[in-house]
Amino acid sequence: MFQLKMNIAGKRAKNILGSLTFGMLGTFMLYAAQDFESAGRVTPAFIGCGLLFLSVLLIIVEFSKSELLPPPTAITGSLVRRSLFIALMVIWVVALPYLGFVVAGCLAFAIISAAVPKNSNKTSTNFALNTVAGVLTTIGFWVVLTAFLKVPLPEATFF
Amino acid sequence: MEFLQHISASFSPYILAVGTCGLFLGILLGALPGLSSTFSCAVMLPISFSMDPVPGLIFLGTVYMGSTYGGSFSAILIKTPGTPQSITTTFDGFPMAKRGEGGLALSIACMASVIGGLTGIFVFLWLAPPLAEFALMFGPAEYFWLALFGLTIIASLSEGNLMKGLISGFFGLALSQIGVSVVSGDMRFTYENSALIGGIPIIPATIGLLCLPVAIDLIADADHHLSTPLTERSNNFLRAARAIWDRKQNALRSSIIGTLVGIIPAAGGAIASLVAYAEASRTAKKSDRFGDGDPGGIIASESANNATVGSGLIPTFVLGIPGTPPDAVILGAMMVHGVQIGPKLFTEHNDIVLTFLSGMTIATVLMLPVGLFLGRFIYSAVTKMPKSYLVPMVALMLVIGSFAIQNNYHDIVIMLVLGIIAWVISRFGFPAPPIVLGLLLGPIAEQGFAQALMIGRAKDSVLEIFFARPISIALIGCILAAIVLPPLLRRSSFNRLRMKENVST
Repeated sequence: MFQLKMNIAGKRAKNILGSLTFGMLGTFMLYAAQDFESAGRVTPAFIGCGLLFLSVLLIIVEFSKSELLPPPTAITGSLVRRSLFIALMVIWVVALPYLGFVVAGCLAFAIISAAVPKNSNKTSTNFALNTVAGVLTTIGFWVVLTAFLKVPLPEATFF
Repeated sequence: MEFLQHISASFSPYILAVGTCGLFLGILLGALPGLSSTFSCAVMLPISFSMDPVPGLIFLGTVYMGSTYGGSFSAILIKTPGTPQSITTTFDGFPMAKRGEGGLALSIACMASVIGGLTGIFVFLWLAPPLAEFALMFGPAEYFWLALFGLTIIASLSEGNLMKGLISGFFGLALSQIGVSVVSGDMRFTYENSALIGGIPIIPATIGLLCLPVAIDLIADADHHLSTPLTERSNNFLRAARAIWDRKQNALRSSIIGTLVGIIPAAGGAIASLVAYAEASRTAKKSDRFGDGDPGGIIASESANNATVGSGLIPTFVLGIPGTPPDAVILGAMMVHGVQIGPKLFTEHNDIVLTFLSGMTIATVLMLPVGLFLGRFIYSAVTKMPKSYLVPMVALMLVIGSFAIQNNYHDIVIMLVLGIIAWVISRFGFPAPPIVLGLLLGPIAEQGFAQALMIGRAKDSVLEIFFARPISIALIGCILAAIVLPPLLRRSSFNRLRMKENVST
């Protein structure tokens, strides 16, 4: 019973937090729209009002009959790995203009590959194979895109 | 009769080879996230110059058709729409792939694409001149109502909570406000950041919002990305055919919607598939499954977006106004080949038109074996790929797909930021697909509304502009029906169920 109450409280807190965030965004849009020309202000103001209204409505519904709302999706799997992946993606994107597509891509491929959980034991051979696969894939994409499709991928400025 | 003669002439090995190559290249390019149909046609344009006018145009037409279908591959298998036209394919395609029916989903997408493609071409053949005039009747007010009609789809994408779906849709609309205002020229929400002046680009945003959360969840455990039940082997063709036959009304209606939207200049396959999907989800018997892996969603999306290929050529050929962005590339190719566009094309160069259409017809039919073969091959490759290779591969494609469309580094940053936001808010129960809809349809609705308002004020007839034109009235009727009918139908079916229960007890 206690556990159920805790779940409902947690769900309610999440929904209210989400609603408050979007409500604040709506309020911000309403405020910022005042600086625009009269023709350009209508739509942001309308959207801001809509966000604010829906957020308030969601909070009211949440307090009145929260048990009817579907719970937010439960997280299964490792949150640490997810955070690690996001951090790696951020580092990759930041490093891209300095290291270029090929170097940054190869490094990112190898590191992300190593971060993926495996059913079998991790061995240095696996890591080496993944690194080779990553290098070949990245260079393959680079060749196809730059040489055949004429897409100028980011080049290194660091070296 | 004349068309049948040209059909037989189009069976030449050269035309067949050109059409097959165009399809093959188009599917492969469309399957890569971020490489749109416009990009595919533009990249293949120089190759078409080395051919005679008719094979050259058939080549470009088949590249366009192939890339439109190819977008469904990544949409179904990794939830990344290869092209904007296949955004709605992700809604049901990916859930099907997740539960081990990816092969079936790809087969359905292929067959629906063929049905839509053929519908567009046949409509072009028989109704091109009058439909081109209909396209010109679309003014700003009609675009506004059309965009609003597209937004009504949010109800079916809200994953059980309409209010959260609406908030997500409004969040998408809010994102669409970033950049220079098309109405007033204001810099809105850019804060002197040059990367935001052009607004939030739709492809990187879509890739981030829909695919990055999938990639983030992929890395969390060692389970396989897609289920692969042993029962699903070679009978996908028959199962897909049966699924389409059971939903033949959906396929036909979506093809007609795609055809009609395709002839409206600049509307394009993305809006066509949205409108068709909204219609299909509303009229389906088991509408609660839409967005959760219903084959009807794929049928609606793919038949509509491929129907725009043929119908988009109607204003291109008849009026010289491209119906969709890739049609602008084809228009350029026609000019380079010295083909005169306009009504005279149908009298003085009717042989070119008929041979082109017959070639496109054959190529569309050829898409069935080519598409099914490639679909089976790619599905098998993705399901067998180890996660340690798949996850970084998906990440690499996210980066390439975001960058390739405009060759802009900031697009990768936008993809990443929106992807992280989408993942976080999905934990709070706010779905990401309505954000994409808001982002896509917001500028169309705003521009249509502002232009119609200005025209109305100048003519002193604002209400008339919005509410008295025939197409506007029809669209308003559709919007009202979309909002009012589903709850009424739900209530009536609920009452019927309760009556049945009462009788049984």
